[in-house]
Amino acid sequence: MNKVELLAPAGDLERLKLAFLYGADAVYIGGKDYSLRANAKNFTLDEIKEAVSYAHELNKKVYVTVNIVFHNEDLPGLKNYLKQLEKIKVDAIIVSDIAVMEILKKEKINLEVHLSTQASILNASSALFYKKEGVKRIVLAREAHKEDIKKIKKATNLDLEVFIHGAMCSSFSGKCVLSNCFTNRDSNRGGCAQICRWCFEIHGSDKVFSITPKDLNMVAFIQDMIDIGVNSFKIEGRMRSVYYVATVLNVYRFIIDKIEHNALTTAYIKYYQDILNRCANRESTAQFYDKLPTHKEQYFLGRQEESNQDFIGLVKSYDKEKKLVTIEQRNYFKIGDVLEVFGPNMEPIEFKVNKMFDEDMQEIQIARHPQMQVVMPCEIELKENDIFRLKKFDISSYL
Amino acid sequence: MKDKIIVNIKKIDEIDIYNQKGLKNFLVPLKNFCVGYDEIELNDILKIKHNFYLLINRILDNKALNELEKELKKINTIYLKGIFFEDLGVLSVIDKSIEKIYFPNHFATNYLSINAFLKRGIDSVVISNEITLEEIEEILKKVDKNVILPVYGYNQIMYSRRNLITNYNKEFNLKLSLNNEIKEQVTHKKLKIKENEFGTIIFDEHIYNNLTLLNLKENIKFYYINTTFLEIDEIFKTLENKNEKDSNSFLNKKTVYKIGDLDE
Repeated sequence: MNKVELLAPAGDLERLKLAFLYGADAVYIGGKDYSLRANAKNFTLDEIKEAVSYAHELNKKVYVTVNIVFHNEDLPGLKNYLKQLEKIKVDAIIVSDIAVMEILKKEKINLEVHLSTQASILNASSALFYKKEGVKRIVLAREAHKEDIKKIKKATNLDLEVFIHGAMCSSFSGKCVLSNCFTNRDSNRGGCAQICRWCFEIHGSDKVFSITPKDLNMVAFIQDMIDIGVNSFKIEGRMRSVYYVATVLNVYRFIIDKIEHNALTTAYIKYYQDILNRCANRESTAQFYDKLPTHKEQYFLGRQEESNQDFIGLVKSYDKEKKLVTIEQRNYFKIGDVLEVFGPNMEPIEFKVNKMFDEDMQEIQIARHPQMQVVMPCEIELKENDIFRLKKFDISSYL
Repeated sequence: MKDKIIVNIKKIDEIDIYNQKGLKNFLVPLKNFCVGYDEIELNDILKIKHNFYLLINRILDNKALNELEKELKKINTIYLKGIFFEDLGVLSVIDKSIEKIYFPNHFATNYLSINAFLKRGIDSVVISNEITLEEIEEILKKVDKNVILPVYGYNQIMYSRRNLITNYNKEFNLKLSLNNEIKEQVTHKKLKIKENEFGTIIFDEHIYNNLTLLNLKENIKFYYINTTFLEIDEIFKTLENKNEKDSNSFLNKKTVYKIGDLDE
């Protein structure tokens, strides 16, 4: 099996470190400027430097998004910014505007370029156009069908990066300025207000008209995508929570590793799909890879998102001698609850709450305060950043 | 001024009507390769005895690009002056002798990237409709070849590969028109929506009346009027009066992208 890359979003340093811990081979991050998530926390140049240094210590990679559609006023600072990224030795930049490639050439700035999904590449000829510009990797349009991916790979032999999980635009990426029209926030410079998730009426019907797609979920097709030559598997969501990033990465890391060891079964695929659907509070499904999406891949009755309180807490420390785990609480739980704990390289293990203490070691029945420290007896040897969640699915019932 | 206006046609007999009124440049949306336009069948295109430009505004997969190549071979290039396209893959199937016009909707927003495309065998670029007058003026000063300015029409604001109305019809067992109108429930803002087999386009409800751009003369190849949803008489009346009604453009409205930059 070819070595494939699991690529995760990182909205800040905390999530970057967690992403690497949970199995990402590379992360993509945005700087304070020129990134399509202008309202994420994002990274200063010093933080990018720290991120790259941290990643390279682990033999992992950092890609920086420079993927806005530039206006004249955005151009003056760009050259210096790119030179800074070169100096920092980021592993690549993700670019949609050919203006960036022009500056790299003119100024002889040595940065690897990955073409953003904003370029909507669906055919080999457009991919070859950018290959001539020195692009090393194409992030394909989310609308790419399996047959197109195969043809693009064969014709270009470029690295191909494909989104495998997360929210979908209703439009081709970048081909939407609904946000500009409704809110004056420029979607192609990182200000997207997600108007496609609002509710509409349509002439001739009294039912809500929605253009919202379900999320993307490619759990069932990872093996297939490896076989046709996809190099990098990308997870969407630089503004997502720690819990989301850890859960999604944990699942896809196990899938890729199980494929490598020929151990991925239909039961596991179904089990992982259920975990991922629950974690995002939204249904997720394959979209364009195997078919043209139908009504089954869309939401029609507005936002059907139910927030859940599954994320119980993050492990802060484990005392091997006393066999006590300390967690930082994130949601209400109580004595008798059945949880599970998972972590990097650790499949979920059931854990029943039999006893717990507050930070002063006073016994408590309920952990009700967000971010309170809770201590529990625990036979399983845990590590910092392992995660407790409510147990909702049991692999044994899928086998 | 009229000799620099280009309009998309909805039927081939419109060419004569426009011609009589002094318009000489026509954009013909090719059936099966456009979304959001009233397309013209290839057989009708073959009957055109006037110079014209072809419009290909679909994002194309490999199969569609192969089909396009075959279709283009059937068109007599004596009358075909050039092709407007949104997908750069089209460059690989265009005859070298005709003009190549890049029409990237929303993306031609700075002079550096426009010039980059102009250096790479592209003859002209259609400028974005979502930038300010000041930005347009700077682009016109700095471009290396003549470019195209959209000056009038309903603005395309979203392009999806999904069949959004068909899917809705399937979900609720309805037969709504694929040429329809939607209204956002909170703001009550209305939008036009148009779907075909190859996707769905949403248009702003207001006409973008940027006719003041006709005063800009430097480095202009064409002024583009998108006639979709418009009657010919209405277009000429507007051109004569240059009325300013319905303007909803970004000429004097700079967009922001950080929430903190929004006006209170």
